[in-house]
Amino acid sequence: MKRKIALSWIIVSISVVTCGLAIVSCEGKLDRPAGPPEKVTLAYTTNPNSALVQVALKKGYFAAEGIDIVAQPHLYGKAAVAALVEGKADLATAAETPFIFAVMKGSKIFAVATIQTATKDTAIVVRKDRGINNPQDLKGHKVGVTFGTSGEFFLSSFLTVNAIEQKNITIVDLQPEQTVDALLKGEVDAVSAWNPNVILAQKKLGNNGAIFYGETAFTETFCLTGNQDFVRKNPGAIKKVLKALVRAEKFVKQDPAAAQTIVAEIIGMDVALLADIWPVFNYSVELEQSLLVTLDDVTRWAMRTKLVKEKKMPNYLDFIYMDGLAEVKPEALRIIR
Amino acid sequence: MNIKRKLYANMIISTIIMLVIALVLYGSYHQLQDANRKQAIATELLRNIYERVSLRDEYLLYREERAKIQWQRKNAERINILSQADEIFQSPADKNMLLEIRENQKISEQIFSEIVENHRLATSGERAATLARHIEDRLVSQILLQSYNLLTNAFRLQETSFLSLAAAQKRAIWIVFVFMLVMFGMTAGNSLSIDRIIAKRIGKLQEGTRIIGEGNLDYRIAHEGTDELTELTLSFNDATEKLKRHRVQLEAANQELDSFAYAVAHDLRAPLRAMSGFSQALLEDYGGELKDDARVYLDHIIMASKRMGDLVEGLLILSRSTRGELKYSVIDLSAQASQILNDLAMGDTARKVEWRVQPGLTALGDIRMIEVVLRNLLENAWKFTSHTVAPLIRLFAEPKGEEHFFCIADNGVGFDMRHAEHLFKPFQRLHRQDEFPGTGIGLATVQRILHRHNGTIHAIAAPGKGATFYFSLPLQG
Repeated sequence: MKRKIALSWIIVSISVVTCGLAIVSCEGKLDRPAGPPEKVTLAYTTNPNSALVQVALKKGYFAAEGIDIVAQPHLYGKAAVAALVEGKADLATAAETPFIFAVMKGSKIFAVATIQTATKDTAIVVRKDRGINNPQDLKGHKVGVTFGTSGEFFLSSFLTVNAIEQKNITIVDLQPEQTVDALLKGEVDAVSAWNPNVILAQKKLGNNGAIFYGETAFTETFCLTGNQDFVRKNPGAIKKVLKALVRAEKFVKQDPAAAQTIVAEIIGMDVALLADIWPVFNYSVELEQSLLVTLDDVTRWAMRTKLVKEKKMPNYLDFIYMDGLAEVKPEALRIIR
Repeated sequence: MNIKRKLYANMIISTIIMLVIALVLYGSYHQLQDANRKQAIATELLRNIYERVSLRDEYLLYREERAKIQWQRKNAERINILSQADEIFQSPADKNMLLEIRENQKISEQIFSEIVENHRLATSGERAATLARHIEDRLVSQILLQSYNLLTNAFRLQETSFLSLAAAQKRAIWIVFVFMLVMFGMTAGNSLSIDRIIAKRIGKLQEGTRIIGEGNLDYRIAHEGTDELTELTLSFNDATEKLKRHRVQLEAANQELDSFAYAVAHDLRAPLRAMSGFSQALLEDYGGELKDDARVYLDHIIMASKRMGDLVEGLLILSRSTRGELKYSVIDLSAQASQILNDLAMGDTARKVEWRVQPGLTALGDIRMIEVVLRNLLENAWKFTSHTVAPLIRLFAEPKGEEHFFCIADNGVGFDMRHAEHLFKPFQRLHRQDEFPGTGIGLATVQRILHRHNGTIHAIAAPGKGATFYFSLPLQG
């Protein structure tokens, strides 16, 4: 009888251990941040392009991953990259255009991941009362744009695919915060800008305004960039930052309304207006082969238009840090290697 | 819950769980089919993208009309593939991906058209060559970018089919695992419970039946629960109670019968003795005056009286064999048998009978009773070898299986084994009175005495080849 009881206990014990092993093997190891939080200064833009960063900040994902984040808001990517280059930030969010300008000027920076893409974010907003009803009508008019940004590259591409020579229009350099006012006041006839300025300008112009998109001319690619020295010395911190952004990506996909509320609050925009343009943005932490195409494309344009002195195309593989994403979200690393 | 219900529950649980597992596997099979269809569509889409990329590059290199037409056909084919994909990919994430693919497709188509148009304008001289080149550079960059995005989305679509398959398999494995665990737990619990019943309670029942079987009719088997074993125990206890009552009644009836037989035998002796005595006196005192026929009649009366006397004596011995308390002691069977054989030899000096007694045979028993046993068996052996030329009587011990027997064997007339069942019944004889005189009570007495000692007796014989009587008794020590 005792032997039978012992046998029963052995069977039950084996079952429990088997269950435990099965659960552990299926659930995988729990990954918890160890050690004190790592301090990272992140320069980010206060527009919807940096929505993942804004959500991660608001939801405390950086802290949860063990990052003591110092958030540094900037109006646009060019300013954020400038902070990065000047050593005021370790990481920055910016579109492809300020990134390539910094690279072409010799800055040692990395694109760590793309955090947003769009074909309808950057656009040209025109005043109809100035006789602009289609792209060809831009000839002879004054167009405002922020130099050194994706707005400038988009304008150039838009004009090119519409067979409009740049000498036929007048381009005016405006700071991003000036674009809407300049258009409303009639200081310019059109502006090449990105959201929220595009939608704000359109709303304020009402029936007098029109938007020209250029899906065949440009795809906006917004990236998380970093100082090469910092990235190489702090691979663990990069991993944690990426993990926080991936968590934000999941949140944005699962609860877009809540994400819109967070972003609208941070960038000071009406949430309903933001909801209207939200579908324009594709929020995904990734590194695609198309990023290289875009970087080469913008660089060719910058060299051809003599916006940069350098005449040799850099190998952008040397300016992309893939190890972080390879560990955090390997399925999103699709650069041909 | 009784045992039958427990076993029934085991069967029901196993059946339900097997049904659930079968349903899960059936569901998994359909999910697998679904994933395969998704795979096929995603592969078809990827093939279409690769073909269009090749045709696009061919067109960009050589500007052949044929490549352009083929590209456009492939584009139309892709619309059809995407329509099929819409029916199969149903999750919101998949739908989003398909939306992106359609968007990619739309932009790619537009860019390709613009490239074609740009080329037409350049070759017709309507657009300056430098401007046309710049436009094409722009457009080609964008179409390349779109192609990569398209490929990425198509690969993702393919991955989702892999993932949905893996998820279905994981889910199926978990469900099967959990249900099997539940089945194991419940059946093991039930089996352990049944095992406990069998090991503990049937053990009690077995022990009880052994004790009762040994004659302790006052013993009652303890019971618990409300299952079949409890019912069996209660029935058994009930049967034991009835058996006890019947035994008491039977013992009383037997005692009454024995007392009656003893009284009859005892009371018959005096009139019988008178009848025999007066017959003898009549013959002695008036024999000369009687006619020959009358004397013969008187002889018959005297002989019949003597035989009746023997029968009465036998009945008294048989009756005594079941009466009185047994006083156990160690008996030297060898010595007792030798003494009886010597007595027999002295009483029948005309015969020469050989005997062999195995020395040192002992057993536990009532010495008076066992003497009756040995005397009866040895007298029978002596009697039934009377016609044998070289009579031999033996006493020896013989183990047979797990039992230990004492044997008394002779080489006398033996008997036919077909009549062996009558051997130990009172007044049953296998030989004629004139051939071998006797009362037919001796072996019945022997059997009763041995049974009272918890012993047994049986015989093996053959006509003309003697007989061997095997009897068992408690052994010494």
